[in-house]
Amino acid sequence: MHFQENESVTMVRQMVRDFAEKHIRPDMMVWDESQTFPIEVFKGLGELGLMGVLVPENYGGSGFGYYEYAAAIEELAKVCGSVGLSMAAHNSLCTGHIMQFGNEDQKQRWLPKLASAEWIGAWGLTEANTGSDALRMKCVAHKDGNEWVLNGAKNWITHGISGDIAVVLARTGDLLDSHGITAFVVERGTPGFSGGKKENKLGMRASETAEMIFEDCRIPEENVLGNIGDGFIQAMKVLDGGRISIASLSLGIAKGAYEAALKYSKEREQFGKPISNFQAIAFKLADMATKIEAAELLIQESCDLKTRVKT
Amino acid sequence: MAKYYASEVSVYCANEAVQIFGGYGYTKDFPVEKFYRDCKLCTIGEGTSEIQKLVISRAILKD
Repeated sequence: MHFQENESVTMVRQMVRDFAEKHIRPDMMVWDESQTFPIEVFKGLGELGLMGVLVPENYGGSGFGYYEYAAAIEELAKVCGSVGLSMAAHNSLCTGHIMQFGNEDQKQRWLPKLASAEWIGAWGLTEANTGSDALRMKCVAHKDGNEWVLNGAKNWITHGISGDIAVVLARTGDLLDSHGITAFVVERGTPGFSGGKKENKLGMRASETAEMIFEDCRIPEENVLGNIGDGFIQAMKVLDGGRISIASLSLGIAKGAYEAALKYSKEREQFGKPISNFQAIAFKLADMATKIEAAELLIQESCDLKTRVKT
Repeated sequence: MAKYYASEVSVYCANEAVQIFGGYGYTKDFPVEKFYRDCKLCTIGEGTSEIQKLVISRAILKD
């Protein structure tokens, strides 16, 4: 990318690179093989302000914008996608939802804990039978006095077991009604809230993906985010921002793979010369570099839009 | 568009990187096998590529 980068973006990039080389690269294959969620890495990222990248400073965050956020995820993903994914889910989804739709009390109560990584965040929309078809969710909440009683299960949840706090979307109205879903904050330790099955995955193995189970889980009224029935609309807006983070995660992985292949192709010799001297390899590198450049431009444009146009 | 395109690019690049590494790329001695496994999440999580195309097509077909 040949744009002049903002100084703070360059600073974040360098900080993340140093951290990743020191605290992620040495052990990442061990975590990958054993599916270990390296909680201490996220505490370390919290100390650097990377677990509350977009959170304003008055709530304990770094107060950065999307350019810094995208650069941080990209640099993590160049080394280890799992750490990038978990960091992105914590920031964009759980923290992002509370930041965008929580009231003042809720923001003061939860954002500092999330931004410092004292608490790891989870976000529950998906269920076993409702991924893309989220409006058909079965998880329900009904009102009982000044509490809500939550029943159901959420699947494929990043930090479903290790998360200290979860934003959970549950049905409070009719099936398929986009105004029939509400967002609740559930803290770990709440009776009736437990972690379930941990998925054994192809990749992203150091990022925990697990089930969250709710059995007559009673949630105080003050843990409702925004208005009753606004949850689905909120979730779609949260995902809009989240997609910049997954695009940055993708870019980091693409660059990591490309840079490794570029280096190797100059060192590896076959038929008496480096394989990069063969067009079969050089053209692959050209295609990769071009696509990476195009993806980066799209991400830069998204960051620009997200910065200038508040939705 | 950024999420849809970048995630597909990550799969493309990881695949090509393994091919360039040849047999070594298929082992855990080099990092590209991990990129190859990790990247696939990106076209699925937080909105599959198909859902992204739905979102993009709705936006361009809106008056």
